[in-house]
Amino acid sequence: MLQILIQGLLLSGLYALIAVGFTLIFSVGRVLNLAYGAYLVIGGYVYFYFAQSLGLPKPLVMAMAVVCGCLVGVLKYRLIVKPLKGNHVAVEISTLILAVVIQAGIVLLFKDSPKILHPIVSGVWRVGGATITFNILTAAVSSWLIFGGLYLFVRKTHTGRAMEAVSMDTKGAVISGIRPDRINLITWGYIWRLGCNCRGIFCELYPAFPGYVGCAVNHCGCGGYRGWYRFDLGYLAGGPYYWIHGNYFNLFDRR
Amino acid sequence: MTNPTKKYLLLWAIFIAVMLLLPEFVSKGTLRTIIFANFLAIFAISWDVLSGRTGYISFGHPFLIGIGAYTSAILSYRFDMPIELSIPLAVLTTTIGGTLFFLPALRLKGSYFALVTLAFMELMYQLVQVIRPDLTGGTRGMSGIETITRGAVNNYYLSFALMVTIAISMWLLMRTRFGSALSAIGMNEESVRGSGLSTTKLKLAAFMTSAFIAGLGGAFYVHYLGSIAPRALFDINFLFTIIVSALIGGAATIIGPMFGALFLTILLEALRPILPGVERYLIYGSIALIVYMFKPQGLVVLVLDTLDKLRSIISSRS
Amino acid sequence: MSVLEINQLSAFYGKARALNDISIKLDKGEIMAVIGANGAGKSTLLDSIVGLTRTTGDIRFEGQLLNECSAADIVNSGVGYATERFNLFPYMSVYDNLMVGAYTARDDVEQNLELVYDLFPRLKERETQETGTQSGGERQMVSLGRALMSSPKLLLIDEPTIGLAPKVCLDMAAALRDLNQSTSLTILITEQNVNFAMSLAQNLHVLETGMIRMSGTPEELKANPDLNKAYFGSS
Repeated sequence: MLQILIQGLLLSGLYALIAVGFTLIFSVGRVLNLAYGAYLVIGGYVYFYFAQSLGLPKPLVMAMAVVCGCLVGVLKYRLIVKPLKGNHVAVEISTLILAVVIQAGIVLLFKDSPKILHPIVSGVWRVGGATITFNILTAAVSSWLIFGGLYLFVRKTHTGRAMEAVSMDTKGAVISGIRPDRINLITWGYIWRLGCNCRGIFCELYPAFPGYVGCAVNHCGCGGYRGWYRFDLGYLAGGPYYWIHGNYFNLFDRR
Repeated sequence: MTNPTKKYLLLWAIFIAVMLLLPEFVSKGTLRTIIFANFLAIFAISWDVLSGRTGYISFGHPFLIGIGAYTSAILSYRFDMPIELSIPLAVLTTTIGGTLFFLPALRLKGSYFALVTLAFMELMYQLVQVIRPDLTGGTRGMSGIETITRGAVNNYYLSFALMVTIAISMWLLMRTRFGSALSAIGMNEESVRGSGLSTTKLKLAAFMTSAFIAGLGGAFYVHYLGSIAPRALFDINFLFTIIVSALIGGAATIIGPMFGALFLTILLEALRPILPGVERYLIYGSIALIVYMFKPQGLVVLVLDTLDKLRSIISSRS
Repeated sequence: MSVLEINQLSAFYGKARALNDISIKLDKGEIMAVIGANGAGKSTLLDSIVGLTRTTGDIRFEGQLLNECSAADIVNSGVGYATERFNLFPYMSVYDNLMVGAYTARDDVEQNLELVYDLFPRLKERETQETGTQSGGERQMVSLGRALMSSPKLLLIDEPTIGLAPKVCLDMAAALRDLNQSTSLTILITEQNVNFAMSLAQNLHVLETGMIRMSGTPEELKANPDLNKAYFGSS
């Protein structure tokens, strides 16, 4: 029980972060990004390939995952989201198709067996009867840092505030001189970064597996679905739920 | 009877005749592919009745199909119920059960509706595996379920008859005022409400129709396969195939989903020698994405447009 | 040179024509009011100036043609637009709303903030309150404040008194007059409240179903029997 409580507490930040990434694009762009799960997966595979197969230094690979994520996000916005401008249904369906395409692409490159990812930080810490790996601890700390950084970005910078503004009232934002188009582009780039980040951390915990493309969306939908601008405790309250849910995958799901 | 209706009836007749003669000309393997296409067409029509017409995108159709398939499978496999009884019961369960689940979702708009339906699919996937695995067969599912008929040819005729019956009934239903009202919701829900119709009732009716077809398709499908497993059913690729069939063929039509299902199934089979596994979806998905981006009305319209263009080129030359 | 010059402007929603052949000219430091009933096209006129509708005709701001510019460019070039209070960001604090307004004028933030807080001391008191929970009058002030944060040379205000108590209307008029005199800001307002508009503006236009019916100074319009009949119920 103690184990569950501690891990739940530690991992809630990570799951909250994943959820924020998903709701971010929904609030600002008003579309469900069903390819979001694919972002997480791509981050994981970039890490697997460059850090484990090629043996590049871990921090460098983390940075690469972020950069390549941004690039793909911007491309996606330019090539798919923008041409379908205004048609939310079309954007949502095309993100679903994209999710499938990315998933198939990953299977093509890496085959569909799960890849075991080595922990980024090794070692364990025993508290009472509970065991906490340093890996999970690192994941928790880094997700809290990113979460904090995101909070500051939204609250304290003009671009962050503009993202918030577009999400609440597009006309209000436009007459304040904001280009929603540009903000959307930034957001799409940004969530890719966030998605890949998340997965970069996430990958320590679960093997990289293409099947996560679908289920990751599910992670995001349930807890904090109220518009990210509230930034309230909803996400965090969702955390333990996500964790139980995640464990549930491990216990019952023997794919 | 008006002229266009006559023309359509003629086209239906030609189509049915060609499909009936098909087993004489193609191999058993191809026939099995087309059986899958027929079932896919049923699912795509079911999706299209709700989502293609009204614009309320359902990401949860595997959920409905799953209810139908599992109910009939459990009743016949675990309780030795005859198929003649288990299938109608399964259809009834899907219509009622699906409606109860979706009732709250129908009050939601746009993306929220889509998200909730997606959640239903995931929920069903998780629940099937842990709740009474002695009934559902858990993760492994069930196999050795009684089949309705044996052999590719018989199954082909069965699936084809089912599809054509559903397609024609939907075609007739969509020509009524009900059908036009649904399309009107897709264009502008506010104005439909403004003209005094209850959009909630209309959407509910559309949903029940859709669930009915999904349950029917699901139940027959499971008695064709003889087995069922949660991973194959509640899968993003399956969902994707259903939706893309409807869209790539042409949403809000009847011929569209049928054509789309046939096209996608054949494409998938044609790719098998080159790419055996899930990788096929890379090409398949890319084609779907390109068609969808550049011709959102679908392939049927694309083909007709091309024919028109060719005709005008030919006539301008002569 | 006039600050804003509109020539033969027509605006469309789809095929429906919402404005028909409007010509207006504003000089520097002038307050002009466009009065009219609901649906006369007042908001459409202001939306058209910042490029939010499809238009034909010329709109010139300080001699520059605006027709081809995006809304963001127009705001950037010095047109501030205070919409009705519904276009605020409801889950942001008053301060954050104002800061979004400063998006295009990041160097003048402090100076503009001081100006807004001087004009509406109430906003300073309520700095951290979310605008979604504020009263209509307060939101109207935030909307105006947000437009002022972009250092505008021309300020467009859509119905500043809508839903306000008479006492608050007087405050608003005083604030706008103050603003106009201290910074010689050019202001174009739309109004249904004819008394308010006449007490404030040097020139008025009466808009009816997308067309200008009458124009003139407050005195000229007051003397016009048609207007009296329509807006004051007496002749």
